[in-house]
Amino acid sequence: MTGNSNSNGGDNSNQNERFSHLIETLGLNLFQKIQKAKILVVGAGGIGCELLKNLILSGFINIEIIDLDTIDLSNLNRQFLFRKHHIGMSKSKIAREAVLKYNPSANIVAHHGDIKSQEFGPQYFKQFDLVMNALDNLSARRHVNRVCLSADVPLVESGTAGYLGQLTVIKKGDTECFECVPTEAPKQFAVCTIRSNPSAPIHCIVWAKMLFGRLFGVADDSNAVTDMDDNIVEGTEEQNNIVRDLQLAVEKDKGYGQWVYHKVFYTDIDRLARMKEMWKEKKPPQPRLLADIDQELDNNTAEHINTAQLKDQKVWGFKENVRVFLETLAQLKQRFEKDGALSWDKDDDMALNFVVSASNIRSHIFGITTKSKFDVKSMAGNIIPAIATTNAVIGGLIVMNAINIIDGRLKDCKSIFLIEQPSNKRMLLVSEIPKPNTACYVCQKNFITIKLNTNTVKVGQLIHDILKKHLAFSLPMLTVGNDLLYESGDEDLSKEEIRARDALEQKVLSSYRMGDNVILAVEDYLQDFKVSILINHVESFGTEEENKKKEHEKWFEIVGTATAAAPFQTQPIQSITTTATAYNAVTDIDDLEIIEPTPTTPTPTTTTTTTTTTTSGKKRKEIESAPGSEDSDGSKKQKYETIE
Amino acid sequence: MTDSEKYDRQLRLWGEDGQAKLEKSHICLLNGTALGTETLKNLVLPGIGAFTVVDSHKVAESDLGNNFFVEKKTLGQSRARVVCELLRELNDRVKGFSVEEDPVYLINNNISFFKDFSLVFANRIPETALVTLSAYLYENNIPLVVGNSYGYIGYLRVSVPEHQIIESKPDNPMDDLRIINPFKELDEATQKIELTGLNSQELTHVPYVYLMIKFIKEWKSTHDGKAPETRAEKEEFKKFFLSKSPNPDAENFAEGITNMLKVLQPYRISSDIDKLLKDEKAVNPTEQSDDFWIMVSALKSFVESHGVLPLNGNLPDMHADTCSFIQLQKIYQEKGIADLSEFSSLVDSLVSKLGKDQISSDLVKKFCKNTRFLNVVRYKSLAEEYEKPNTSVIISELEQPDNNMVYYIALRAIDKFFSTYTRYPGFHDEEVDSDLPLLKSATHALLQEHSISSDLVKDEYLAEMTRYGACELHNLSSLMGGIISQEIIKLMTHQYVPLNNTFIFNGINSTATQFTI
Ligand SMILES: [Zn+2]
Repeated sequence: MTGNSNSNGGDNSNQNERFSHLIETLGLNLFQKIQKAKILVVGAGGIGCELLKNLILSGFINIEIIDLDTIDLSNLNRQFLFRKHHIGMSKSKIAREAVLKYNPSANIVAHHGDIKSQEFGPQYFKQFDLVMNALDNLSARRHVNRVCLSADVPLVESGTAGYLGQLTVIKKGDTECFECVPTEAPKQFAVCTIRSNPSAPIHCIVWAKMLFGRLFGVADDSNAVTDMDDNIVEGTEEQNNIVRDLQLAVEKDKGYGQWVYHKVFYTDIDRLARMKEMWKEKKPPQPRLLADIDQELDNNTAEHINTAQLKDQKVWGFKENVRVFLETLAQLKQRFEKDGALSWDKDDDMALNFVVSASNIRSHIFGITTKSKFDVKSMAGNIIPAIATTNAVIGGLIVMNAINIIDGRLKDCKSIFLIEQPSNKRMLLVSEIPKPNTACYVCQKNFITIKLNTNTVKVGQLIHDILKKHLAFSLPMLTVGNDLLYESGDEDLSKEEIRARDALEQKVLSSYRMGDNVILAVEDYLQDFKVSILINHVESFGTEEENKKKEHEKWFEIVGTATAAAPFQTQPIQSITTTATAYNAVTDIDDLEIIEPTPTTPTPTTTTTTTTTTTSGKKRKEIESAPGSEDSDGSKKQKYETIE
Repeated sequence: MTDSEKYDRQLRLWGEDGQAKLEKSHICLLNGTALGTETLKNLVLPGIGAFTVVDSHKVAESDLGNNFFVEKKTLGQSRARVVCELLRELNDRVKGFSVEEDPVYLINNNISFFKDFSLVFANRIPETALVTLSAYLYENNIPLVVGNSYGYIGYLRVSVPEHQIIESKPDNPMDDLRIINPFKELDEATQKIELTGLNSQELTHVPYVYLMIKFIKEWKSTHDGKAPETRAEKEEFKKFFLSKSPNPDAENFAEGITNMLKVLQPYRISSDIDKLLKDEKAVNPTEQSDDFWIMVSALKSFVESHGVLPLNGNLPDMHADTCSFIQLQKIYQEKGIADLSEFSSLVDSLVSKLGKDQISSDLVKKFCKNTRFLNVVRYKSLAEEYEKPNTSVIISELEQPDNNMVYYIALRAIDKFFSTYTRYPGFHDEEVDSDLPLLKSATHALLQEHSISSDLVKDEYLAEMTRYGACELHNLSSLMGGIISQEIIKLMTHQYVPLNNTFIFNGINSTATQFTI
């Protein structure tokens, strides 16, 4: 116990008087269970704020909070524990301070860290009586699900989207787990991520689409991607310390292309870069003057890209992106003046080129991997709104279920779905929590089959696209029989090791012992999760003719997970009658799922999952005998802070 | 100008217009309980214009245990002032006022105090004062929301004589495409398209709207001028439509099939809208008519001369080459603009006939774009509910086992109990046992008054309520605060349809029910 400073002799009777409402309604016995219970809250955002407040005022004392995020202006319309002067600070720390006032003798520990880091493995989870997920990203939710199953700690899972919300309880063996019904890959992003703090290519792509709408679409006040004439880069009127980018007016005089380029890739970036709070843990973005670019050589990756690749699969160099950007900008401007407002269409080559080039320039500025036209075309996104009212309802329901669990009444817990308009006189759809899906590869079977062409699919594709993206592994380790084939780790790698790993990832599966009918064991020690995968070789899926018509050629199939339900947007409310469908209905608000390993440009706000590989038996042995010895410079990055 | 960066998320839900309405509203809270402050919290965060807290209580130790908007150091101070100050910290754009006065005193001695609020949210106000307040607000068309957080039970009641909604935002609105009854410009554009001249590649890029109109027309020419109506005819039409497809995978044809049943529906003005058009206020507008009813009246004239509502003008995304899509989009847009301008002039002439002020063109436009989604909700006043409740609903609900209606009855009986004994049943621990029979007889008297069998309310529920002794749990108040503030936002923004009229949340089994009592 910490923080007893406020207690005095008479505090106990005051405590009881203060909680008289609780004691009378819940009974002293349950109240005492609550005071003994140890709770972990994962996420201190919209729902997290509600949870911490409700927990403290429901008599809970022992609470830990984990959140990686810092506070952003767009959080303040619902994350009521934060104020404007907290912008840029750790959510978990500020949330802790805010609720501690209500019970100074409470024992609250705040972690500013990543739930997926080694610090928070199954051993850490085992100390809690209950875990509450207040997360807005899918891969972290799947991760926590696995760790809770492993540690056998009950989990209250929840999510909100606009007026809609849902929650359920997950208990190993008794209930469905988060992955018993697979969720669609999410495509939604937080607006602050898009506007100020991108960390993945998709964030820049969504931004570029917004810019397109802003410049050439129907006037839309809610599109606040940039204000073309605003040249303020620092300060406020009240404080009388405004700094302006006077170059903007100069560029505007030069022409439309120069003006837009300068505004979005210089003025706006400069303004962001000056927000020092935001860049404490990562490199600030680099504003780029158009005049400087001509001087530079195009030192992009283009050279070492296989020339046999399709033209659209090539990643353009920086200068190429700038050239295309200025060119399409001029063309689109002409069309806009002639035909009026345009709507973005991925099949409209000019519009697509605009988004490809604009997003790539932005990615470059923020140190994010740039993407090929082919890839950009398939990526798109919307923003899911979040409001206080829904969070309040869901937060209340979560703590209600939590009290049931603490009281040993798991059977009284329910799956609940909140809908925007009462239908059939109901606003909350309540149902029993389903039993585990016997086919679930996470909580039941631990066995799946993957069909793919073992002669064309590369190791890297298996690791990143299938194991990490589709099956939510954080740090997969691959073995066949007794042999370790591939190991992940978060230590910094030497250049040679990166090169070795890159080379291995380029190998096709059949040339690396993963041919037809091989049973592959995939283990993630962070999640304490292990699955056996039977590899089935297939030449192709469907005829070439069929594949040509589809936008994405299907290149693998996972057998042994239930089929994914329809995505949220297309789901009519009336059809949400079972938890199975309701469960899929809430998509992510802010998904920061990074699929590409980015060992050369780590971004600390996201999971920097660098991957270590072994190519020889000798090396493999070293790793097995001394895990962690890969730490080449001996220094580990401090990723989290703990306040006691 | 609103703070669009801070409010970004919510602007995507209710738009600039909803936000502007919210920022104009002034909400009055009677009693700064946990339920009251949690509700206000969810209204101050998204930025209502102002709030006023009326409360004569001092901050007590029990407030510290359930109310997030009091602090230990404020023990003994005015609860109105304390919660007002802490709520204001949530959002510097919102004005907060406190009145250290007993709401009951204001109701009985200075009722006009309430006349300038946009909405009054009352909790823990004794029955007689509440009825007085309700009557006054009802007369002034000010919404009254009553809330209660009582042990594990939450209660919400909304009352306003007439609530008008332009944007009811239904879950899955149908697109306003008029394929079955194309307007002149759409029909002409369709006729201009020569499908026979297209190669199969080009044919797969024709928007399905054109295809449908063309093939329905062709179908009609061989079916006595009738569109497919019966199920068999629709099946046959589907085959006919698909037979025109150059290949089985053509996406535009597939879209046509997906939407076929919807677009083959005969055009019809919904019964809700029809009811509005026939409303006395639409039929006979007067100089007293408000903007909404003047516009409904103008809409009535529009429908009388055209047989259809003004076209919305939006075209959803569909499979097509960019050029034809933009062309089609333009046809819908222009017709939408033409209908709007005709509707606007109908409004203008009605306005000048009645000698009223002009209605802003933005409002007329919004109304015109949403004519399919208009809605008016008329609520009972509290006095009417207490005198003539919907007993058939009450009885049929009570007859079902474990129905939440029982808590509505219990809370009403508790109000009666309070009127008689000026305390809540079981409020003093030592009186729990002796209060239960008193609550039972209050309940039976209430049921008898409305000729409802007293067997329908089991004693165990009353015992449970007595055990609560009017305790308020923070967690339940927080949850109810979420639900109540959501309804208040609907009422203030005039978007979505607020619930009518009573809502009970049961925290024992996490169920919630809405009743029209
Ligand atoms: Zn499972």
